[in-house]
Amino acid sequence: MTVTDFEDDSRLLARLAEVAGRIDPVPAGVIAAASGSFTWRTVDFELAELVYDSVGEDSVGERELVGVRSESDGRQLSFAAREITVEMEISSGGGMVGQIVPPQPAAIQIRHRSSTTTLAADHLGRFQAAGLPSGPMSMRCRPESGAPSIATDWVLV
Amino acid sequence: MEAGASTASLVAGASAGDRAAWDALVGRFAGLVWSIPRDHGLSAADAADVSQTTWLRLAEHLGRIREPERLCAWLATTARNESVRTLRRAQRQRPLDPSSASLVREDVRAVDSDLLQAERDATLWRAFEALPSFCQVLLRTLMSDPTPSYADVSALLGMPVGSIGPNRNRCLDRLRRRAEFARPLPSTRSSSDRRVG
Repeated sequence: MTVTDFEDDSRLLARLAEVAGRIDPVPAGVIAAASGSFTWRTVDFELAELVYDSVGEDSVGERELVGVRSESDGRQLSFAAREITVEMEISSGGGMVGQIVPPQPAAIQIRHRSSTTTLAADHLGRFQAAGLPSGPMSMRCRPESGAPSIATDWVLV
Repeated sequence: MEAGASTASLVAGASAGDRAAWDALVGRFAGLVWSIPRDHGLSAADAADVSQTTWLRLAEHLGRIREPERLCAWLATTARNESVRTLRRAQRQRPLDPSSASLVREDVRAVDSDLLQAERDATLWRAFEALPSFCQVLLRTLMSDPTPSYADVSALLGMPVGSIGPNRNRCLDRLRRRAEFARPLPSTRSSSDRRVG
């Protein structure tokens, strides 16, 4: 390479790509985890999409501005499927409280990277857990009523 | 078939349960997904979490991607949002700790390691890392393989298609100036007419 390589945009970009691949390559474990994610698919569960995250791109400031639940330092998340919404708050220590709406009892399974936490929601749809590991997390919820089971979007907690 | 397959056909294949199609998507976009948290300054451990969360979320969304040919933008947007959330959580939890592992990009992988074939590569990389995050993300996106369309880049960065070229040139100019300022010039060059971006 000579200094003239830097004069041409395409060659500079190509050079940069080459250097990036050498200095900051994707770790093998990261590729393995990406590949392995495929086996976590839950095609028989309805997806409950993330519709609110208090640590969103812009929502944090707004919440603080209007003072909604501003005394709480937990992270509030909402997931919505067609008929069921899951609201939860996760504290920095790994505690979780939440509720299924409309209120109803359900069997709950929280999936983590390498373990699973099993819970039950009471007749008001309330559930709680403690000591959840950090990392990617998704919740599966099977209502006792026989309504369709849901799985939430994966979130990083 | 994977090497030349369109992204949309790979998404369709993976959605139908084809593991090879999924792995082809991972091979195609893992570098881009990895680079985004890194360009936001996250540690390798946090970047690994962001990457895994992004791929897990895609696995559940395979059948719902509205424009499969724009998967690149979907992945990049997801990774960017998770990167920003990770930064914000770190700031909330450790607002006064300057040694926060999540906020300080480790310098260990910097310069004088065996990984570097030449000091000028290190110089170029330092110059890249000194660019604004916006430029890093734009250039990383443009250098991914296969090169994304300007429509993808537009969707990802929320900039009009017509401004991508000028922004690309501006970011490359800044990179060029930084890289060349940082090292001895073996010959003269005529960059004095370039304007600061």
